Amino acid sequence: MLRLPLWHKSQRLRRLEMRVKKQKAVVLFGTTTMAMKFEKLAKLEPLPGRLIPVPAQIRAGCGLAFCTDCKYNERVLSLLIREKISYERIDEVFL
Amino acid sequence: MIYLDHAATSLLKPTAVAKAVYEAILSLGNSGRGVNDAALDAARLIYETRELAADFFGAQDPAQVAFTLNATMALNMAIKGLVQSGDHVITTQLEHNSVLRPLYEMEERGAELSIIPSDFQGRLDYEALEAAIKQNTRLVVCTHASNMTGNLVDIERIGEVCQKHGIFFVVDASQTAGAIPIDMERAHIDVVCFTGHKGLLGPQGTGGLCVRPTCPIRTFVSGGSGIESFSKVQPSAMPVRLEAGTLNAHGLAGLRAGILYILDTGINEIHLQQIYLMQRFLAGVKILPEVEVYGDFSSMDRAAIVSLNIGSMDSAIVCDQLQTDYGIAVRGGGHCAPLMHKALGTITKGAVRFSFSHLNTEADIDAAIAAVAQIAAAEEA
Repeated sequence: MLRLPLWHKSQRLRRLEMRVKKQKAVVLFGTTTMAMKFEKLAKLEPLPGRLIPVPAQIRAGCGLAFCTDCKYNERVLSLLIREKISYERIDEVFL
Repeated sequence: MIYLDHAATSLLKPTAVAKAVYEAILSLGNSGRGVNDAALDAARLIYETRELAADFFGAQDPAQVAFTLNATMALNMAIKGLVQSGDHVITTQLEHNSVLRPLYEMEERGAELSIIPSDFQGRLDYEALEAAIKQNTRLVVCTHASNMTGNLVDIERIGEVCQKHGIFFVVDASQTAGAIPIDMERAHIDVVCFTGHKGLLGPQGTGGLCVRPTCPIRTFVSGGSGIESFSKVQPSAMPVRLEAGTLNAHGLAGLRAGILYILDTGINEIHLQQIYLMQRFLAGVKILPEVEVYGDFSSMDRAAIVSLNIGSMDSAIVCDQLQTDYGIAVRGGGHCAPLMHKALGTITKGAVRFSFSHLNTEADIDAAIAAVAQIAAAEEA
């Protein structure tokens, strides 16, 4: 069995304790391909954020979504439009 | 072994291709299934490969590229996804069974089929193609180069005709992708079907189709898509409309490496070297008594293929002799192109096909010429 050092457990717990829910902007895409295209272009911008599983509070099922701080909403939208990336919608949720 | 069967599959691969597959198989998860790091790495790699393939064939968006197991699957998807009962389809005598059999199947289901003839050298009659167009012509599907003769088809000319008449145009790029540039826009192509394991130098089990956004190919296989889990139907957006189930990310890593190698080396340089080797071989064998070469070599704008027969010898026997006595790997017999064999008069004895890679050497070619000369001399005697 893999034995993790003691500090590993304590660090993980500390990280979990530190995770505070914040309002986030979540972009939903119709295909994985569009999500990957957006992630690549966001990185080039650079536009902070990362791909996450689509939260069930937005839509039950599966798929990828791009999650970022709400303050970047306009930049997200302009990137989507400028690069003609088809997306379903942008939701603001507590995550 | 001297390998001269690159029209069947390219065996001389860049090391980077094998390395990419090795690394991918040890590190990639399932693209679009979950958002763990390994799954995301697979999705990123597949996306990058889509981008490369789209650029390579002149498609405007990576989403226009759907990956398949091979060109046969891509052609089946394009033909069966565009044609229905009552539609008329035009194809050519140069085609491989990967085009002909899906078409015969559609004919059984009520589609009409016209096959444009070629002459004894395998040259296509372009005027007959345009003359065959009817009110209900839905699709023209043809190869970019014959897998038997290597003759190139003028896809820009056919594409123009298709555009003029509002007909979908599907191209089988199995023998040219990676050696001869193909631009969907310039040639007015609606669907390019390609395989990854020949000129693109990738692994077997890779291929795909680049689809113009206005081309409504129906879903061929439905199943897991990584999105819309609770929907009863396959999503309609490309590429997932044509991709169900786990993609071959490990193979696509190799395909990506193959395309990068071609871009780095230069597609024209690769083709020039192939043609140089092909010409060297052709010059050596066409002067031999008893040797009959098939195809039109008046232009070097062609695939690097030379098919021949020696006297009345069965091509399968010649092929076996080349392998066992000389260690030269070629293909004999029938080449899954029954109508081409008919045009060339090689239905009974087939043909011995030599096909060349830019990674073959002059010594390979000279050894092949010497072997053919010896077999021909024995036949003459």
